[in-house]
Amino acid sequence: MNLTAPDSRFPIHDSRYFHPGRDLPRLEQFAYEMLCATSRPPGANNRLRTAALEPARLARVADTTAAPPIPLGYELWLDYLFELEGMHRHIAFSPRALTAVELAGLEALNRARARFLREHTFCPHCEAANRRPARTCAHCHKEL
Amino acid sequence: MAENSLQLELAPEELIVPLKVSFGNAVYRVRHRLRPPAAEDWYAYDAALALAVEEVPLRENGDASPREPGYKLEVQSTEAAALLWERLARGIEGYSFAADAAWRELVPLAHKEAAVRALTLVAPSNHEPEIQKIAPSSAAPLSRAESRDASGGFPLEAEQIPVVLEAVVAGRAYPRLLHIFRPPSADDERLYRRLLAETLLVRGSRSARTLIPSRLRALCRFYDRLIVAAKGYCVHGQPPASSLQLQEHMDAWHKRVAVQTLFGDATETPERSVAPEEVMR
Repeated sequence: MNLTAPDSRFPIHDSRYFHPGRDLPRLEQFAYEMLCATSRPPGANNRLRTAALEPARLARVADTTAAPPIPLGYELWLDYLFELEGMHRHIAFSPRALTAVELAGLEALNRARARFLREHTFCPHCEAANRRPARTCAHCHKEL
Repeated sequence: MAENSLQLELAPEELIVPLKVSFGNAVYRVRHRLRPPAAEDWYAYDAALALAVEEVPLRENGDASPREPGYKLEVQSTEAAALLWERLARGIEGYSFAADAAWRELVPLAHKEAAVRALTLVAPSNHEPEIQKIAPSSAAPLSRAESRDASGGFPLEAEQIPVVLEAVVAGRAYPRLLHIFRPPSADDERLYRRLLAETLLVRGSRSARTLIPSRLRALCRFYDRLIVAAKGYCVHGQPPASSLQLQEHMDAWHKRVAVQTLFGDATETPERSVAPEEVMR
């Protein structure tokens, strides 16, 4: 395993800055939120489109349905980790090829995915993910 | 000579940058004599750009929706240009000033910025048919890397990948600068994606602030590792003899644009290089 910092270009010893990959609790939380965002029912967009006819209502709807934004640095790093995870499934990288930050990030993704699977159930009709207490599918509206 | 006139010299003695300056209702033509930038000059310039993205909640801007962030891109382009100009400037022409004047300090910042911007005028060529052409005077046939397959199909077994750039240097246009790369490996792709994903966050900033570190040095390393040959360039009037010569003499900014084009994000927009095409009915 390569235990060095991601790259010497970073002022890693400067306490004013930090690499998003080193903030594992938030990275895991944001990964979970990204997974949840993919399972959001398309109705949310429909509601937004409907509300667009009345801007004041649009603001209220956006306030309640949109997920809180993920800071750009975390989003870029998570996009990379998801891509890396996909590549890693098909291509065997040597253990030295990945940095410790990347390996820790991949583990955080695994934990976020496990939490997502624990807290969601999949619709037997349309296979969409729904939060556990749900009785009907938010996507196809059939009984779970 | 006619063919050489189309080739960009990679080891010039000096660069003359012509500028057209409007001042009041008069127009002046001035020239800046610059030392050709070395890789270290470009690295310093790229680092001085200090690219940062600040996320501004729109509510602060008076917008009603607090959830969608706005992004404010910060680039210290003027400061970086001034820094590079100070490193490179050898002389100026077309200005009037006292013989003992400190001319470096007298040159307006806007002129310095324009002179440096003139050095960065290189981009992927948008003239797609140019890829298929060959200079009429050249006797050598197009290799597979230089031209598309006759069928026009996507080459699944390409051994070399051509990247065509166009540039303007010292007021002269070079419409076809061809770089031939070996295909990046999966590991190269991974390292490139990592490079794009690496950022730094500012601890404790009220609005999330992301610093994007200089990537130029790493992009140049990619270029040196993948480059096979180049056309449209010359070194001391001769075509580059080897990839080693290209690694040594190629302008770092050209390396950067060529590598970004190779990996498909020269425009730095999230536009996908592979996308479903609209079905023609």
